[in-house]
Amino acid sequence: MKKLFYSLFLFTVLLAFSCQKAKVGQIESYVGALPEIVNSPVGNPSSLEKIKLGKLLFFDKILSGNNSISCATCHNPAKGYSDGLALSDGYSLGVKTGRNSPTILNAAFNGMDQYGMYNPIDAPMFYDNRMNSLEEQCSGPMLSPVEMMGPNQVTSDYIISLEHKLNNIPEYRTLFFDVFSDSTISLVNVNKAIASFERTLITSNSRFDQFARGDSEALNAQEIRGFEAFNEAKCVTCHSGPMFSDYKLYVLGGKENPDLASPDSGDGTFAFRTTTLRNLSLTAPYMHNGMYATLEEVMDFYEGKASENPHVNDSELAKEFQDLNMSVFDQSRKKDIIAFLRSLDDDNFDKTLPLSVPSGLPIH
Amino acid sequence: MKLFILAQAIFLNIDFVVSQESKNYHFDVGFSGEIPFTGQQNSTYNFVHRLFVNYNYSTGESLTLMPQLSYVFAPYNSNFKLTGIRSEVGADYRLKESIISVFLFSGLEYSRENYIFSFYKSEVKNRLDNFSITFRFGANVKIRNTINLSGYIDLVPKQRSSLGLAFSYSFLKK
Repeated sequence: MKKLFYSLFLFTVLLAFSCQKAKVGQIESYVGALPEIVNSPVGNPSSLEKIKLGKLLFFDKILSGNNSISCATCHNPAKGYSDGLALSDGYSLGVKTGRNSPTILNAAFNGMDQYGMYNPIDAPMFYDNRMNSLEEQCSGPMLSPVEMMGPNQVTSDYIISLEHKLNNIPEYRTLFFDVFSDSTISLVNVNKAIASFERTLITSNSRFDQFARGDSEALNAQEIRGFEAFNEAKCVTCHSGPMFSDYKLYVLGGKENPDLASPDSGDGTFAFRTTTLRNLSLTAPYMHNGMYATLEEVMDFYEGKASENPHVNDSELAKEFQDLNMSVFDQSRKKDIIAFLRSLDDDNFDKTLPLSVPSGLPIH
Repeated sequence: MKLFILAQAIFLNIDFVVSQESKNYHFDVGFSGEIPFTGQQNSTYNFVHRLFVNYNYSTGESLTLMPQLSYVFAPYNSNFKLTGIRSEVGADYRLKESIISVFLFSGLEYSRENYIFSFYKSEVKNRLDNFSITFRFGANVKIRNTINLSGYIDLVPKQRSSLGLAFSYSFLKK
């Protein structure tokens, strides 16, 4: 009899202990709704005229060395300001850029922490965080040999020639004068105008945003369970804050893109930035090199918790990646998480194209 | 961990006793731990418990009819709390001269899941209400005259399918 009750007691203790272990840990990272208003840096206040000018520049192929590429080539409004390609098309036919084109939607909030705080001057840009602020970022593709500038150019000479091209277009001179009180067009002001336009491309009213603002009916039961599983799986450790990104670099060991001539080592250590999870339905394929076509493939990669990159050992993988709680990654929970991720979609953004641009070049 | 706990429970060195003659009717009270493995609630709960009371009515040497009332709860998730009630009827068939019996139950369950999510600027509270039929089948071992251990599969369509383990105590007539 004693043995029986000792056994029952032991079982009860074990059960209680296991249940406590199974309890969802207190998640330190918050997520939440995006703000509906965007901050502009002190040095580049927004205005309606500047936004209009920025939009014209964004769609104008005059900004490329051979007048064949505009910002919108890789950041197409019809594709969520991405391009739907694993690697974007580059300067000339057959040339690919080294990475997947990230969406510009909500890039104005880059760097936002889990409490919704951000500084537009420090906003990290690119998959390796190599530049800060939208203003600085604009120059990156424009002066890239494989993107808009083209090969065999001296950058300083190219900037002079680009400014010269723009200054030869009277409509641009007038528009720049109206916005900057300076009819001499500079690359700095080009960047400021484009950045102002990009700050209008926000999607802060997804169903998740509505839910987080208090509308508990905005998500269905599956999406609510998916959000819970997203937290329990510890996805939220890195995908935190209203942008669902902590903007830190992590080594995950994702697949190399075989179309690249040499391995992409990111910041040099194969670390890449946590990407936002907003508008994923619009921005496939995924990861920095577009090697994962679907969200299901991405989830399978995270479930594997192993490097798929021959240049990255498992021992080099980020601790946060290895700490993902895989016990919740059964098929039904993965479906729920994906349903939740799709609740972060919001296609209410400016998809209109200008009827024409001052250069007279075709927009498409 | 889930499988370990089940295995631990099964392989505990328990003194089994031979079955004794059952009474015509009696009550059982018990406690169960269930581990969901599929269904909507599987996304949310690692363990679901039930406190239950059975009314046992023996119709003969082997067959016992058992209406059962349960209180269902899952308290361990910090964001979701499950509570519910379940009403079932079932039959238990004891194998000849054995301490083992097999059983089958079916009934209805109403459950409510209160959830709360904290965001950096807000908090959202609401609930999900569920109403479903239930099916449960498994085997029961009479450990002592008054103590039973059951292993079973519990099906609540769409909500959850679970592996369960239950202990019960029988209030036998003197």
